[in-house]
Amino acid sequence: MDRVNSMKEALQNGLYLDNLSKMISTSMQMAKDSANPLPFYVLASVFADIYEDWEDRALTVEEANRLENKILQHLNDVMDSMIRGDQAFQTHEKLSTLLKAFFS
Amino acid sequence: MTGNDAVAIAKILLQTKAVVFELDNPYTYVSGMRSPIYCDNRSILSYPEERRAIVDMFCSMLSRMSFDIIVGTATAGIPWATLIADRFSKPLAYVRSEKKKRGMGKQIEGAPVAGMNAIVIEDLISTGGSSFKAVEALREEGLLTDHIAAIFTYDLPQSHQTFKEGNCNVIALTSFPILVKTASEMRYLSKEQVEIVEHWNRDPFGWGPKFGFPNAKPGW
Repeated sequence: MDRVNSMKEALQNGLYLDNLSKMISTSMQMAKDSANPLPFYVLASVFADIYEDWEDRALTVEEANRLENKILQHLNDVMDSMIRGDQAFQTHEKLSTLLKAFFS
Repeated sequence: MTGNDAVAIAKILLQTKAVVFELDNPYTYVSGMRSPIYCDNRSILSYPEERRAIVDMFCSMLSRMSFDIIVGTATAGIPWATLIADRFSKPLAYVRSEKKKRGMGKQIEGAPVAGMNAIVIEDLISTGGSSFKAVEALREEGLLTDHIAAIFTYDLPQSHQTFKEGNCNVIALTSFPILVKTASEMRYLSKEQVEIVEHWNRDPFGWGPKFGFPNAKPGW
């Protein structure tokens, strides 16, 4: 869980391209290494979607803050669930909430 | 290149809205840094006359230099590099910011040959980090690379240090000080706004927190 902890720490730095890039790599690596790859793969996909949307364009602070306000807490909830070692269905519920917020 | 040429390029950047200013709701850069100015030179590609003027200036500047190949940085430098290489009838390649994660894992595309003297074409230079990575990748392949030519440089202290340490010269068609002076003369910016954007240029990482927009990464 060390890498989940370090990813959660990275998340506290906020969402911006350099940080997203690191979190995509970490999540993908953890998806490959983990016995339960689904949460990591979902996180990597969310980070990659944000990266793709923000890359190569003028991103205002207001827009970045808007997305952070929408999903940051849910991202933290998913990671906390993994750190606690919740059962898979509990983590999946958190993931589902994250995705609903992300797509809203 | 003369001072007038640099002003002409600055006017193109402003008139095509390749450069925009947003002081009340600034931009977030790749590094998490906040900025009141954003430059996207790809928009100039849609304006044939302005595009030609940019390529003319590049060619005028490069005609005094000796080189074997033009290398564009992916992706924004590629169209400019293509147009320039074509004018000089020189080989063309492009370099990615990092190796491809799939397939052959290539970072450089085209057929650069070790020992060739390369000029790297960038659309713009900010902190210099990604631009210098391109130079390093080419050097690793054995190309002689000590010049980057760009349309615009923010002229940030970080980029001066990066390129000085990396023994690489930056030649830009226009720069932040000329752009801001031109923007002021053309009434894109008031005197007070000029002071705010100049503050950013002097202290880019300190600007956001000072003006109420903390950087994405705390501690800067």
